[in-house]
Parts: sequence; C-alpha cells; structure tokens
Amino acid sequence: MNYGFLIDNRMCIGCHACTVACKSEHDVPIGVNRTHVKYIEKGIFPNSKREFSVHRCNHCLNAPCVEICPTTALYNRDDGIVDFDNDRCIGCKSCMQACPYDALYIDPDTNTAAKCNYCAHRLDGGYEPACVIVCPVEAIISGDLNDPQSKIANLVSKEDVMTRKPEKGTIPNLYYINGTNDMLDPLATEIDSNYVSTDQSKGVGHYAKYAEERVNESSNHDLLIQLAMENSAKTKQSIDQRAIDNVAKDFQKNVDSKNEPKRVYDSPNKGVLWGWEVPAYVCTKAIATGTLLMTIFFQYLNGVFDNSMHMAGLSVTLFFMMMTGLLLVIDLDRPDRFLYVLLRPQWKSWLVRGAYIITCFTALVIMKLAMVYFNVSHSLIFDIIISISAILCATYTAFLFAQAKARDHWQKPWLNSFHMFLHALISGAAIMIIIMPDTINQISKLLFISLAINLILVVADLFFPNKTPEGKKTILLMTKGHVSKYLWVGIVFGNLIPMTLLMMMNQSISLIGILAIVGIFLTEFVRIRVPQMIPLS
Amino acid sequence: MKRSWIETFAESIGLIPKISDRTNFSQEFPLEGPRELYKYPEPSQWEDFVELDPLAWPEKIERRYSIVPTTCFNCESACGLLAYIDKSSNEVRKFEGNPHHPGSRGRNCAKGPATINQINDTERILYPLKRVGNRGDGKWERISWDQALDEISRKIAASIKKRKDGVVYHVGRPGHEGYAERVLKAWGVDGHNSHTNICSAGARTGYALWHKYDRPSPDHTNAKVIVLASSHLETGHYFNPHAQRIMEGMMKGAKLIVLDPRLSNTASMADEWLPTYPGSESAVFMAIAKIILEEKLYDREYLENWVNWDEYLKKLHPDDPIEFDQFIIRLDEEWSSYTPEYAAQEAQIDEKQIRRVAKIIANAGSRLATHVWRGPSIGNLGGWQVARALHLLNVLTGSVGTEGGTSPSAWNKFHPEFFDLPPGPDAWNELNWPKEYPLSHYEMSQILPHLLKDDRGSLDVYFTRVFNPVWTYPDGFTWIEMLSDPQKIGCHIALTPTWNETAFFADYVLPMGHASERHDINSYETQAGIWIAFRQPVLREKSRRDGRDVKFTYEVNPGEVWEEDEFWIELSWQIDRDNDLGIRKHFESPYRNGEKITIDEYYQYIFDHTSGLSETAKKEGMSALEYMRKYGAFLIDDNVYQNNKIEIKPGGIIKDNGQIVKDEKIIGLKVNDKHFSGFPTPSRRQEIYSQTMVDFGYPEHATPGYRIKSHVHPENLKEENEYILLPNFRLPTHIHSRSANSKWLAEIAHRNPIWIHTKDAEKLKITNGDLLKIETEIGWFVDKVWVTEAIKPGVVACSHHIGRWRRAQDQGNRFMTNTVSISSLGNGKYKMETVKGVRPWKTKDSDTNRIWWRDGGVHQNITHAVNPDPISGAHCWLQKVTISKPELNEKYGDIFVDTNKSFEHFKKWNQFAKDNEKHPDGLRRPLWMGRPLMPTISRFFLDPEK
Repeated sequence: MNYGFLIDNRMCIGCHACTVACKSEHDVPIGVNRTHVKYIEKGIFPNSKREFSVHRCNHCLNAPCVEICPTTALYNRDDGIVDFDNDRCIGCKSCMQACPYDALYIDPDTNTAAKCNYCAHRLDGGYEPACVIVCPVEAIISGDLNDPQSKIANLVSKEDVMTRKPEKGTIPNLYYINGTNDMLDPLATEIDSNYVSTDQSKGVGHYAKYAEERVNESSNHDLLIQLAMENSAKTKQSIDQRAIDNVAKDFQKNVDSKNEPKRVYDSPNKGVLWGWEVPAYVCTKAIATGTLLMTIFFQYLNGVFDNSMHMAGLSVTLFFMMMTGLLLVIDLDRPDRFLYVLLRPQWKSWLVRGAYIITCFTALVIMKLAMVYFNVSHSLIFDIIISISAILCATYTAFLFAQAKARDHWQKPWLNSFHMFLHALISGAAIMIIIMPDTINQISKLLFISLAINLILVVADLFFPNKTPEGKKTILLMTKGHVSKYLWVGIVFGNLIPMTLLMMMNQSISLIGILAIVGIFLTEFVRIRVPQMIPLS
Repeated sequence: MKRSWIETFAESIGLIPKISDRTNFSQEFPLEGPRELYKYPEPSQWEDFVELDPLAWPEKIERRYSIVPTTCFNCESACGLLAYIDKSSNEVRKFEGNPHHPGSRGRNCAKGPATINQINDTERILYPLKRVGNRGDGKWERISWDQALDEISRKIAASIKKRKDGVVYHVGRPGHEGYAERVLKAWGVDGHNSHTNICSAGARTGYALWHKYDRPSPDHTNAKVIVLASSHLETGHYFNPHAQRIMEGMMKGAKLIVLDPRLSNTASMADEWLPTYPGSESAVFMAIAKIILEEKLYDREYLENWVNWDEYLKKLHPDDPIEFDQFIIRLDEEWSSYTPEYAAQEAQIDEKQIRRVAKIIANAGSRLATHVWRGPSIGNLGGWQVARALHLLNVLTGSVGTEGGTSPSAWNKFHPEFFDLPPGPDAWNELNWPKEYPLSHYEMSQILPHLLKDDRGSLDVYFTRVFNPVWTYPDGFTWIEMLSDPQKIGCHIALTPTWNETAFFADYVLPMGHASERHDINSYETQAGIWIAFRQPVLREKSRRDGRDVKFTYEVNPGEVWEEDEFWIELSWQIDRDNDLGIRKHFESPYRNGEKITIDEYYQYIFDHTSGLSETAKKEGMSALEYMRKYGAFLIDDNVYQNNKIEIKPGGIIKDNGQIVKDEKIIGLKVNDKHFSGFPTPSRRQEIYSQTMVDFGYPEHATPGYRIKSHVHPENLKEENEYILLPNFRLPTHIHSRSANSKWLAEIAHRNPIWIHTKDAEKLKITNGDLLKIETEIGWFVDKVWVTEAIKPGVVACSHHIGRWRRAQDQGNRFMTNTVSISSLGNGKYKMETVKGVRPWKTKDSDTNRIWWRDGGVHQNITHAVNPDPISGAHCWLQKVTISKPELNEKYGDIFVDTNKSFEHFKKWNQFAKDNEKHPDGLRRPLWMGRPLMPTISRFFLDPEK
C-alpha cells in the first residue's frame, strides 16, 4: 500500500478551498500552511496566463525529513504516509533543512514541526483527507498508488504526470497532471513579500513570536513609514527577501522581465530557520576541539607534560563545549526536550550521532581534566582516543549539513568536514596564542598555513559553485546579497589581515587569534545562512 | 516503528514521558489489496460519529460528534454544510460539505469551511446593542431582546398607522425564499429594498426583455460550449456549484469561452479568452449572431416556433409579408453593421478570434451554456444589452432550456408555499421605485441617499439586514450623511452577524446568526434540476437530539445571537400588540388556532407542501420537517428542461401565429399541434421584438443590439491619463464585505492594489509597489500599483472586498480593517486617512496576536460616483478615472470625496432617465415584468384611482 496524491491541473481553479479546509481540520495557525496554492503568471497580454499549483508534503518514500529527524518525530508509515508525532519533536528545524519541498513549518502554538500528514487520523477511520473532499472540482485525487484499480494509479499510469525535484532521489508520492516547470520549479519565479492580494511584513511559524511581542509597539501615524520600519524589524526573512530581490534584479537586468513567469500568490515566507546560533555553535565547537587537539599535540611535540597548560587547555575546551551544548539547546524551539536527542535517538540522524559524539567527547575531556587534576600520568592511548573524538566532534557537522537534502550548497560532506577540521586547527591555534603566548613561534606557521588553506577553500567555494541555478544563485547571494558584507569582512579581517600580521610577525598576537575566530564565524554565518535563502517551492 | 532500547529504558525510569508505545495505526488495516475510502460518514452515523482527534494525533483520542446539516450563509449559493458538534464541549468543531445537497454535492469553496472562523470570531456582536450618544459616535449599551422588540415595534406601529411607505427593509443577499417579503406584506408596507441594482440589474433587464425570467441557468455539465461573460470558476454565485459543473463539462470536452478585460482565474482556464474592451461585449455577441445568421447555422425550427418574429415584422416592417424568410432578410439588414471587423474594433481584440469563436458557438447546437450575471452587465451604461445579446445566441442556436443549453432560472428554482400569504401592499414606495425608472430591475437602492437628499421622501424605520452600503455602495459618504440625519432616517436598525461600516451608524445593532445559527430555506438554479435546502441552527437541532427543546434560537447560539425568522415573528406580533392592525392574523399558527406560529410550524408547513418531500420522508418513517432536519436538502426534480413545452389544456382561440387566446389574454402557444404554455411574455414567445421597450420610451431598443456605448467607451475617455477603473472584480476567498471576520480568508487576501498593464506603467513611469492617485468624478484615493500582463491596457482594476475600515471608536473585523480618521472639511467635502494598518491584538485566540500582514488595502467604492442606468436602473460600476502620481503629502490610503459633486453627478445621470420617461396608460412599470413585493395592481398606475 502506498498512499499518494495526484493534483489534476486540468481542473484546479486555484480557489484555496483545500488550504482552508486543511486549516479547519488541523486548526493550523495563521501564517503557516500544510497545503497551499501558488499562483504564477506568464506570457504577454493577450496571451498571458495564470497557473495554479497545489503544494504540500510529497510523502516521499525516501523522505529526507525522516532521515534527519533526531527523535523519529517524523516517520514513514507502512502505507506510504510520512506522519509525525509532535510529542517527540524538539524543534531542531533540521527537517525544514532537509525537505526539498518546503513542506514543513514550526507550529507557533506547540513550537514543534508540522506538515501535511495525509489526514492520517481520518484515513485510519476510512475517510479521505479533508482537502480531497472539499475540492469543488475534484482536482485532488488521493488513493493507493499500488492498487492498479485505484483512480489515482490509473491516472498516474495513463496521463502525462510530473513530480517535483525527482533528481533529489526522494521518490515523491505527489503527482501533477499538466504540471509545468514554471509552476513547480521554485527558481522559475522569484519569491516576494508582496503578492497581488497579500503583503508580508511579519514573520510566521518559528518567527510568529516576534509579531506577538510587538503587539503594543509604535503608534506611528504614517502607515508607509510604519510598514517600512516593520519590514526592517526583527523578521529576518524580510531583509533577506530584499536582498534576494536586489540580486534578482541584478541577475535579470538584461532580461526582458515581461517574458519571465512571475509568482503572484504564494504562502508567506517562513524565513531563515538556522540563524546565528548554528554558525556560533560551529565556532565554539571548533574552539573546543581545536584547543584540545593543540593542547595534546604541543605536549607531545615538546615532550613537556605541563599540568597548568593542560588545565588551561582542557578548561577552555570544556567551557566551549558547554557553550556548544548551550547554543544547541537554545536553538531548539523546544529546549525543554533537549534530552530527547540522546534518549529518543534515531541513529541515522547526524544530529543524534553528533549529540553522542559531543557527549562522549565532553565526558572524555572531563575525565582528562580529572586525570590531570589528580596527577594521573598521561596515557598515549587515552590521548589518541580523545584526539580522535575531538576530530569527530569537529567535523561531524558537515555530515549533518549534507543530510539537509534541501540545501544543495551543503552537499560536500568530506570537503566540508576537512574545512571544519581546519576551523578547529585555526581556532585551536588562536586560543593557544592567547592562553600560551610563548607558543607563538611554533604555532604561527600552522596558523598561517591553516588560514591560507581556509582562504583557498572559502574562495574556491565561490568560484566553483554547483552548476545548477541554485548554485549560481547561492554564489550571487553570498557575494552580492546583503549578507555578503559579512563574507568579505570575514575574508579580509579573518584571513587576510591575520595572515599579513603573522607574516610581519606582528606582536598583536591576541588580536590575530580573535580576528581568525571572528572570521570563521562570519564566513560560516554566510555559508550557513545563504543556502537557506534559496526558495524551495 | 522501532524505538531504541535507550528510549525504552529512559521512559521506564521516568526520565522522559512515556510515548513510545503508541501503535502504528496503519497496522490496524490490511496493507495489501484495494481499500475503499469514504468521503463522508453515512447519515445513520450522524447522531453519533466517532473521529480521531487530529490535534492529539498520533495519540488515538476519540472525539464524538453530532453531525447536523445546514447551509452556508456566505455567498448566495447556499452550499450544503455539515456542522461537526463536539459532544463533550457542545461546540461546533468544524464544517464539511453535505453530500446530500444536490447543488454542492458535498463540496465547498474556501468560504464554506471558513464559517468556523466566523462562529468563533472573538469580536462578534453577541448581544443586542442600542446607541448611546449621537449616531456614529461608536458608543453602545447592551439591551435585552425584549427591550429591542418593544421599542422597535412601537416605532413601526407608529409609522404604519401614518403611511405605508415609511418602513423599509433593505437586504443584502437574502439567503431565504420569500420570508421577509411575506412579513412586509403582512405589515402592509411597500418596504422591500434590495442590493439588486448594484449587482445584477443589468443582466436581469437583458434577460427579462426576452422572457420575463430575469436570470440564466446554464446546464454546464452537458454543454458542448460554455460562454461566460463572468468569472464563475472563481467567484460569484453560484461559484462552487457552477465551477464543479463547468469543469465536468470541460472534462467531457466542452469548450470554454470567457470575455473579461482582466485575466480572471476563469479566463485563465478558458480555451478562448476574449479580453474585450469593457462595454463592447454586446458588439462581439452581435457579430457572432450575424455570422450564425449569415452562415445559416441557426436553429430555424426553434426560431419559427418560439420567437415573436411575426411581431417583429408587423411592427417594424408593416408592409412586409409575414414570412419567416423575410424576417431573416430583415434581421440580416438590421445587423449589417455588426461585422466582426466592427466588433473587433470596439472590443480591441483580434477579428480572427471573433470569427473563430463564432464557429465554435455555432457548432454547439442546442448545447450552448451561457452566463452573464454581473461583470459587463453591471459595469457599463447599457450593460443590459450584454445579457440581451448573449441570450440571442441561445435563441439562435435553439439552446434555450435544452439539455446542455441555458434555461431560465425560475425553471430550476423552488417556490415555497406559505401557510398564509397576505395581499400585496396598497402602496408604492417612491424612494425605492422612483417613477423615472419604469424598467428598473429592481429597487433603485444605490440612489436612495440621493433621493433622500433631494427631499423626495424620508424613512421612519430603516432596517439594513446583512447589508453594508456605506462600504459596498458607491458614494459611501452620502450614505453616511443620510444615515446620520434623523430627519431623513428616523430609526436605523442594523441586523447583522458582524460589525460593518453601516452598523456604525445605526440606532440598534441586532446580532443575527451565521450559517449554523439560523433558519432559512434555500433553492437556487445551480443546475438543470430543482432542490431545496434547509439552513438550521445546528445547536438547536443538537439540543433537540439531546431531548432539550428550546423556545428561541438565541438560547443555544453564542451570547444572545438570534435569527431574523423568529425575530420577525416576535416583532410582528408586538407591532400589532392590540390586535387592531390586522397583522397578527398573518402570524397565527396553521396548526393551533389563534396562537402565534412557531418557527418549526412555519417550516413544517412549507416542507409538508413540497412536492415529493413528504413521500420520501415517509419511506424513512419521518415527517417532512424531520427529513429536512436530518438531511438538510432534498432534490425535488432532476433533469428539468424545456418548461416552455409544458402542455396546457386545449381550448381558446388559436391565432394565425399559433398564440392561444383566452379571455382576451394570450395564454399559450400551439406548436406542431400541441398546446404549450410558452414563456410568460406578452407574446408567450421569446421576444426578439419588445413592444414594452417601445411603449416605455425606448423604441430604438425594440430589438437586441449594441446601440448604447458605455459611459467609459473610448469616445468618452479623451483626456490624457484617463483610464477605466474596473472596481468590481472579486476574489475566490471573499464574500463582499461579509468575510472580514474570517482569519483564514483574510490571510489569503487582504490588500487591493491597482492592477495596471506593463505598458501603461511604463508610460506613467511607475513600478510595482509605487503609489498611484486615482481620481474619480467625485474624489480620489491613493493606492499601490500592481504591474501585470493580466489586464487590458487602458484598463486599471482594483479588487472588491478589501479596504475595510473602522474608526478609533469602532470595533470588529480587525483581521482586515485599517483604522481610519474621517474629517469633514466642510461644504460636503470629506477626507479619510489611514491611521493604522492591520494590527495584531490579544484575545483568547492566539492567532489574533500573530497577524503577519499590515496592509489592509484602500476603500475605493466610497470615491465612486453613482451611475444609475436609465433603463435597467443598474449602477454602472466602471469608473472614469484620471491617474497620476500622488503629491508628497498624499499618503497611501488617503481618500477624498466631495458629496456636493456626487449629488450633482447623480442629478446629471438622473436626468438621463427623466429625459425619456414615459408612462403608457399611466403605468409606473410594465405589469408583466417582475417586481419584488408586488403591490396591488392599482398601485402600478401613477393615479391609483384610475
């Protein structure tokens, strides 16, 4: 049994009945949708045309959201439905990074992820989903794709059907008759904050809380100024949106925009969901693991096992691991459930694997600290184990990012893990310079080489993007969008200036270290943020 | 699914909540082989239906529902709804479609399920309110229903004792069948006013001239070709019922042809979209008619038998032989100017497309479904010509009333039999029916405030019922002026489920129920069949199921929300408190002598007298009323076609032309040796020649044609930057000004920018989002622009529904209302400014607190001048506007209106009617044409004594 949906665009009239019936069935908050209708327009008058497309969960056989979900809050049922259990969800938003169809959202009432679940509660009583029965023209067809007698299986086999992003290997169960690239390809039309009948000036879903916080603010009488102010206020996606618009304008400067299909109605933008906390965690993790590695490495290199140096290095490591843990927890929309990652583990998720790696590594660090404190003599085997766990801890995030199937730019796990290893080296070296300035001579070379390779990797990333439109757009946004300044500042102040200072053997050694770490944060901030700005639907 | 041992362990020691033992429910069902899914629960389950709670899912919590059918009260289609009443909370949880409703067949548009928002609206009016301070001050006190009934009934009684035209009930969309008219007749007042003249008056006139029936009922399902000068795949009634059937027809191969200057969603689905210049539609139809005639593709037999061609010849060409071929020759002559070239020029479309479309239409044969209801007919001066010319295509192809053709509405509509029908009032309300509009369809409601201002009368008691003219009508400031003047309107009572701009200016605001909180019966011509549906207060039915009967609906509704039906009974009873006005007798129970009728008895009587209903009910061991309470709808007749061929008893004198004359009246037609009733026109035929038009001062319009050029014809737009404003297109998610209390609908559409074509935008040097000042003939407004290829160059468009407002002192509809300030600048000049856009606010519904939009649009209608068509009486919605960039101090949402100018404008247009005013035989109105609330015949004469 394999339940799926077929949207028959020969009949869909774009009336939004499905959207509202779904909201009614599941009491979906305003701002977010389990299903919605997108409108695009194309062609030149009088040959202009409007196309409607219903968007929702694709109930993939090979669902990236299920794979990345750390707590099996999302799961494939045996009948083909991808269902979810919000009692298990910790609000990590990784499913929203993994789903290539933008089907999930954070429910602002429960602060957990949600999406179309095929009205599983109805289905189990034998009833069709709410959107199917409401549709005035019966353009949404549900049923068992495996049953050759079913209407849906018949239509899928007889008609020319289309699925979205089959290249992602998700094996979607949502089909379209008379689908067009213009309506189904998210990059065929630009997203906007103003559509013909809507105007988004506030965040939704995960960001709905900002609207709530601002209830009593401001009584500016000039609506225009008011709207402009609100656009630039907390709702991050609005700023990003303008960046996207600006880039899009550059991008299409020489193109006759009238010929381009235009998105004229869509559901509100859910915004960038992994904000500053994630690059910050990448940074603190790099500092912690790098410091540990450096501490161990230098002791063996110099053959001096200095307890105070050990204590300093291990304390820094422990402090930054705690910071890492803290950042991970505060990034959750359900921080109260952070333990679920460890206690309701879904082993395929790199979030779970990472959490265990972090836990193990931290435990080893504490053990090592205890060993140093109680003057237990060092053990080479233990030091090898702790070093390997540090490297794993430093690099696993690249595999988590790669599990985020929606983000094309993150799909280079081995290269990225090497890059994260470099981050650890740079930050470790930087910390060593700060806490043990006398190691500068030994470390400056390592730091210089690491920074140089890092710079090459960051720049190469910009010059050799994916050849896909997503790849091109990502690079455009990174280099020209409104967050590009962070990238350039990161490159100049985080790499070029520290390298120059190192070459000049400048004495402002602490500054070099701080600059290098801030540089990592800034470049990672851009590299994590920008791919999230590429529209998925 | 598999869970880790770690989880099991952690749960067992209580570290985390125990939830891993939830079953994977799909395992309860066989995973192989076909499995039938249902759409709706069987009616046998409706009294106790179990559904799993979607919010608790995947925890399997059972919710028990009592399912009660009702009908939607949003648009006029009255689609079936099932209210799911949670048995534990006794609250409505959701609305789904009613599969037993023959019109909607279980399906709904977005507005159906959104009803739950309206029920749970945190700002709804829960109790009767009475004004404190001056009208419009925004201060209210809660009163009891008893007080409201007592005070209002005394005012009405006082008026009735003086005159029969002092009380007026002004209705938006009635949503019932004849209830209020019966009440008004019982009171003996000519007090019915409607919204028809801002809505369908143009189309009604065009259709009525052909066959008295004022409305089309296309059989889309069985059509070969569907022609829409409307957008019924997205809006209007009967949107959902019609859209399903249009699509059904199209999937069976029907071609869809749509005329619209704007790319509507409907036009976008069309095989042929004709982006005609507004007002030119009848030119296109006449050209198509001419092609059909020239190529002899018409249905000769139909024309010969069912069209008054003989009268055409006799009256227009008295010297001609009365021969059909001669008629064709004369038509050919008459239509010689309606060439495709001419039509293409008028419509500014490709001539080839007109020829191509003509072929498609001619090939439809008798399966041509056509429809125009508002659109061009209500947009243009002479818009009634569009319906007349469109119906001509049905006449030529012989597709009137055929399978797949277009029937008159009345054939597909049920007319209830009342327990008591009072006679028509012995009065003629000059404010509703001013004599210079003898052919209007119907009440001249859009100029009511202007007539009041012109001292042509006053009102003692004025009910606005689910009706919001201050916002919806043109020239709202003149409405505000008149509503604020107690000399003009003695008492204003707003009957409404939700706050609106008109209710702000009432003396009493009386809360009336939404779809699931009221009684009505509905029947609409959605298909080639006849059905009735029962709107009922679902919690009252639930209460009955629980064995608790209530006396009045407000006992079960939220707060003290009532319903009109019961309100009218109680009010009428009290008006005649001394039983000396002859009103009470019309409200006495048909079952209990001398006692006041109950609402159940009222409907019991109607259902008992509905053809076939009692018999069907009996089979299930129920009374007709019980059947309707249970199923909510009943199909009276299916496959209704060609009622003109209903046979009548032979007899009477047969004239040469087949007309059967009895008692000096033409009562039918003899065709092929059979005696048929024919059509309810003077000739009993389809009237291609209308003597009525000749008699009432418009001889040049005796036949269908394209003779009146629209007030926005290019000839009338000569200045630079003059455009047509198309202000009346609607959105699939809203219902006039009735849906601003639905958060789910509001979030889909809450702004109304000006649609402007790319080339026009280039010419004006504006881009998307820029501000634009739109100057009408009486004022201006500032709106944002939406640059698009989906509109005809030269036309700008702004959607209906949006730009709702409240002043600082008002409440309601905050999902869609801007806060505005209104200032009188003196001398009839007014300025409205947007103080704040849409804002979140805190209530028990957390959604109010997270509104993500701020733009509430701009109120455009208030800047429109009234354009009453001298013939149909329709308000011609299209506005001649001048477009410019606003000055620096003119902000988004600014509105300016000069009501002195609007009054002058009214006088100018009013004069058009007066110029041609004729009253043959002293008649105010042709006796054979329809009129709501028919008065006594003598009142049709200017001098009733005659």
